[in-house]
Amino acid sequence: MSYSLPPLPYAYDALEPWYDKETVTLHHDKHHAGYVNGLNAALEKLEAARESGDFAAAKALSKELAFHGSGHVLHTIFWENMKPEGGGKPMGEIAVQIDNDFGSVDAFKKQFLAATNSVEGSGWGILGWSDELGKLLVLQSEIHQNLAVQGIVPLLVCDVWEHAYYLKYQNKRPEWTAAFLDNLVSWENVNQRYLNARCK
Amino acid sequence: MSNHSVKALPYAYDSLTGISKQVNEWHHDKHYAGYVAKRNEIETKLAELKEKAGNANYSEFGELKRRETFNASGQILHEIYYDIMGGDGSADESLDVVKKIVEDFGSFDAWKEDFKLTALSALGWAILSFDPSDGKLHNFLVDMHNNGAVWGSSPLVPIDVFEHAYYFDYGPDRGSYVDAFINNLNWTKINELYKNATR
Repeated sequence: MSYSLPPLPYAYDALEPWYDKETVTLHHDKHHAGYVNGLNAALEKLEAARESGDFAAAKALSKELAFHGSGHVLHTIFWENMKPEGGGKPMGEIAVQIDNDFGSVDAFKKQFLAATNSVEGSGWGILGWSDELGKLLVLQSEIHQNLAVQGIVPLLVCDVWEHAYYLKYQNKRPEWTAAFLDNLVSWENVNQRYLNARCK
Repeated sequence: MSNHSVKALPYAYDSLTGISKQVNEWHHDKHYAGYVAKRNEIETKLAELKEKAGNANYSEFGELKRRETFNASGQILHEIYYDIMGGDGSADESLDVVKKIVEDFGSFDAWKEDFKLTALSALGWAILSFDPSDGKLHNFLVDMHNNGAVWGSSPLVPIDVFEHAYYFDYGPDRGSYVDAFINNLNWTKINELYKNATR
């Protein structure tokens, strides 16, 4: 079974003026599509390896799988995490959990922005739920797959690869992440993800 | 200590073909300068750090040390990157470095093809380097600024493939940017670096 690029859940210009049509188009149709193709290619090569019994490339293929698989998963969540006229305050159960784990929404926002703005090189800021730790965590992810706490379920992800914001925000990453949090986040989606992730 | 300074761009911001004035301004004045500033900041913090705890899992000292190589390498590679552009890309066959490229890669075009493939595969830089351990030129692939360097080798032609280097001009079309970069190379400068590296 191969994966296909999920269509953008809104029009390409729906997130204007905070997220411009050109960036959204390139980001979804080229970059996200590239990760879907890369994931399928890695899985096909692994299938061929199982058939032939030749696992000489196991190390490279495992890395390829982690890179493209994480790239596809994070981008899928990223698009669903946004909506036109988004932002505002967290709602539902996750609002309670944010207060519980970060002290206040403000403290959470400050930590999320500080972590996301300081990702080294290319990567992501991530709010995730750990069922094992029973806690929401703010993490950085370098590239797509490095620096995770194992078992974390990403709920809210902000892409800070330069392709995500350079055309509109250039080197001003903090302006992009603030726009994302204040004007684009769909807290309904984040809350739903939290409810789905929480088993204990 | 901690007084690394930003080197001025050795030519006008609008003098490169296919790499815009705007990109050069952001890239040089914000990104490159940012690495220099952070390198200074880290060195100062390391010098002033009161509790120097060494710990392989995590320590403030260890993290500063880790960031030091990222920012120092960022500074160094950007300086060479700018130094070796400003030319017209013509690689005179009489230059020692060009002769050596032909010797080690088979032909100049074969080097270029390998260099471009390396640049398209990297998460940071592709670098034509001289490695004294085998006396040969190599195109090395570096992720970030500091992951993948080969000890003792000298960078001669580093191309930055972080998206800030080309996204504004080319969007995701990194290949066209690599072509533009190669066409801006100053091979006389590169030959000087090669001579210093092999002296």
